[in-house]
Amino acid sequence: MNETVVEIQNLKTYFETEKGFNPAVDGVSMILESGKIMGLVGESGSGKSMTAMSILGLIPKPFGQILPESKILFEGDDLTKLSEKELAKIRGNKIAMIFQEPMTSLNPVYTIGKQLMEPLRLHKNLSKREAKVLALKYLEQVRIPDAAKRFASYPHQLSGGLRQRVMIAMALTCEPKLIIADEPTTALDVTIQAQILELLKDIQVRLNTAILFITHDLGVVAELCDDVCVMYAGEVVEKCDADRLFETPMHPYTIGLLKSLPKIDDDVEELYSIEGMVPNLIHVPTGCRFAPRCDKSKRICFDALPPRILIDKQHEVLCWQYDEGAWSNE
Amino acid sequence: MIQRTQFFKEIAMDSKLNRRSPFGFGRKRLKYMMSIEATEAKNESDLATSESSKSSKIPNNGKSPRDAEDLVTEEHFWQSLFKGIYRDKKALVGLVMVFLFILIALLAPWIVPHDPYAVDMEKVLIAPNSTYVIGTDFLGRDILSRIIYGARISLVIGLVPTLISLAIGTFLGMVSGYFGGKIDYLIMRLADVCMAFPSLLLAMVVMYTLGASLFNIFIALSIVNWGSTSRIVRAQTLSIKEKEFVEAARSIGVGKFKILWRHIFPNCIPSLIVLFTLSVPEAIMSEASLSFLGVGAQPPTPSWGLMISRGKEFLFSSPWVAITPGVAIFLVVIAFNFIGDGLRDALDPYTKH
Repeated sequence: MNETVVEIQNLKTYFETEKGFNPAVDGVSMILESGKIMGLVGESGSGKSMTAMSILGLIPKPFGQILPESKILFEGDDLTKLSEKELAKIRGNKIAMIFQEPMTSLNPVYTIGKQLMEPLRLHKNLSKREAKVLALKYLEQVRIPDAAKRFASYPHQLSGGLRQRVMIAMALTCEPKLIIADEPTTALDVTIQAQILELLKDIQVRLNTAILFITHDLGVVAELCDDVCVMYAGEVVEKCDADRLFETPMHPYTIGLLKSLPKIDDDVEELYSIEGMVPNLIHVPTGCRFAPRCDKSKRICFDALPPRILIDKQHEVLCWQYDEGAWSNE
Repeated sequence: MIQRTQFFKEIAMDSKLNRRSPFGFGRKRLKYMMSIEATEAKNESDLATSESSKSSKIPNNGKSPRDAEDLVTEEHFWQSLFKGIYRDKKALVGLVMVFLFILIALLAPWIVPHDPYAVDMEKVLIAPNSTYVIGTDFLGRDILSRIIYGARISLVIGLVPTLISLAIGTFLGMVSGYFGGKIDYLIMRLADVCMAFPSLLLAMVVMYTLGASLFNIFIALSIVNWGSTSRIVRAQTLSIKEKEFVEAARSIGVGKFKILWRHIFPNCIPSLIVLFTLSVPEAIMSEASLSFLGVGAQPPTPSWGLMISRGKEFLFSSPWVAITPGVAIFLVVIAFNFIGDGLRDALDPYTKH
C-alpha cells in the first residue's frame, strides 16, 4: 500500500557566494512513500530546509542552483526540470508545505478564511462559496474549536498553536500527495507541540499522504516518524527506520546526537555535546565531512570520501568504520 | 465536565467581544458570513457527509482540542493608529484643521461673501473692515473670498499630484524590491536621477518647458516626487518579501504579481499613509512656490502663492494682501504636518510607550 510519491536522486543544491560555491545539499537521495512519515534530522545549517525547498523549487535564484545531475521524480516528472509555471501548479496542490514560524506564515491583513480559500481557488477553480465550504471542512478537521467563527478571524487574534493548525489546514485543502513540514513545532510550546504532532500523524493515517518532517528534535522523530534520514553538512550520513535509529545507531554523528539528548533519569553535571561546529562548506574537506569532529576518526577518514554502506535493506550509513577491509588496514 | 462547558462558554463570549476587523467592515462581513452560513448549512451537510463519515472514525483520545492561550489579542494597525492620533493632541488639532480646510474648499461657492473674480477699481486696497473682513487687493477683489477659493486649488494640488506620484512610486518601488537584479538597478538609478535635482528646480524646468498652467503643475509635481516614494516602498518590499507568509504564498503556487498585489502591497499601506500625509503639505508648498515665481498658476486664478506674489509690492502699504494668503498656507501645511507626525509616531514601535 505504500507507493513511492517522490523519489529524490542525487540532489545537489549549490549556492554561489562571494567566496565560492557552497554545496548546501550535496548528493541527497531518498524515497518518500505514501502513508509514511520521513524524518529529516540534523543540526542547523546541515541542509535540511534546503532539501525541502529544492523539492518545491523555492531555492532563492540566481544564487542557489540545483545542479543538472539531480533528479526529483514526482508523478513521472522531474521537478528540477519543470518551468516556474508548471511548478506553480504543483505547489500547494500536490505538494504542500508547512512552515516553521506560524506567527509570520500568515498574512496579517487577511482573515484566515480568505487565506485558506486561496489555494482552493487557485488550483481547483472553485467559486467562493464552494471554496468556503471546503475550507471550513478542513478547519474542522484540524480541530479548531468554533471553526465557523474562526474563519473570519485575523491571524493576530489566534494563538501560535491555532495558527499552526490553520497552516496545516491550508496545506491539506488540496489533498496533496506530499506534505513537507519544516520544523512545524519548533516555535510552539510543548503541550501544543504534542497536539500538533498527533494531528499530523492522524492526517497521515487518514489521507495516506507522504510527509517529509524536518526537525532537529530527536524526541519528535521517535514519536512520529517511520523512517529517518540524518543529515550532516549537506549529506545524508545515515538512513534507516526510526526504531532502528534509536536502538542501533551506527554513524558516529548519530551516536553523538543521541548521546547529547538529556535523559531524565541521568544525573549528569554537564550535557554531552559534539565538539566543534558544522564546517564551512565552501572549503569542503577532502575526506569525511564529519571527520574533524569525530572521536573515532582515523587517517583514512581525512583522506578519502567515505563509502555508502548498506548494512541491510533498510539501513544505510556513510562511514569508513563499516568498510571492514579499509578500517582494519589502518 | 460542567467546568469545561463553562470554560467554552467564556471563550465564546470572549471571542465575540474580541472580534475586530482592521479594516472596520468586520461587522458587515460577519453578517454576510452568517447569512451564507445559514444558506450553506444544507449544502454543506450534503457535501460533507462522505468526509464526515471518514473523519468520525478518527480516535480523538478523549482530548479536547483547544489551546491554552486561545485568545491572543494584539492591537491591530488601524486601532493603534486611531488611538495614537487620539492621544496626540497635536495630531488631533491638525485633524480638525484639515477637516475645516476640506470643508471650506468643498463649500467655497456657498460661503464666499463676495465674488472672488469681481474687479472693482473704486475699492482698491481697502483695509480690513466689516464688509471686507480682510480687505481687498490691488484690483478691488475681496481677499477672503479669494483665499476661500484658493483652498480649492490647494486641496486639488495637495491630493492629485501626491496620489499620482505615490502610485508611480509604489508600483516601481514594489517591482524594484521584489524582482531585484537589473530591473531594480534600472529603476533605482532613475530614481537617483530624479532625486539628484533639487525638486523645486526640476519642477520649474518641467513647468518652463510645458508652459505655466495648473494642469502642468500636476505633471511636474508627479514627476518630481516619485523617487523618494519608490525608495521607501522598495525598502519595505525587501523586508516583507522575506517574511514567511510570502514564502508560504509561493509554496502554494501563487503567481508573482498576485503576491505583489495581494500580499506585499497591503502591508505597505501603513507607511504609504504616513508618506501621503507628509507629501500633501510639500505639494501645496511647491505649488505656492511655483506660482509665486510665476511658472505656476496664472492670474486671475486665486492661487495662494500667486496672491502672495502679487501682494508683495504692497507689503508695506497694505500688508494684508500678501500676509493673509501666507497665513493660510502656513496653517494648512502645519495641520498636515501635525497629522503626519502623529501618524508616524503612532506607527513607530520605538516611540510607543
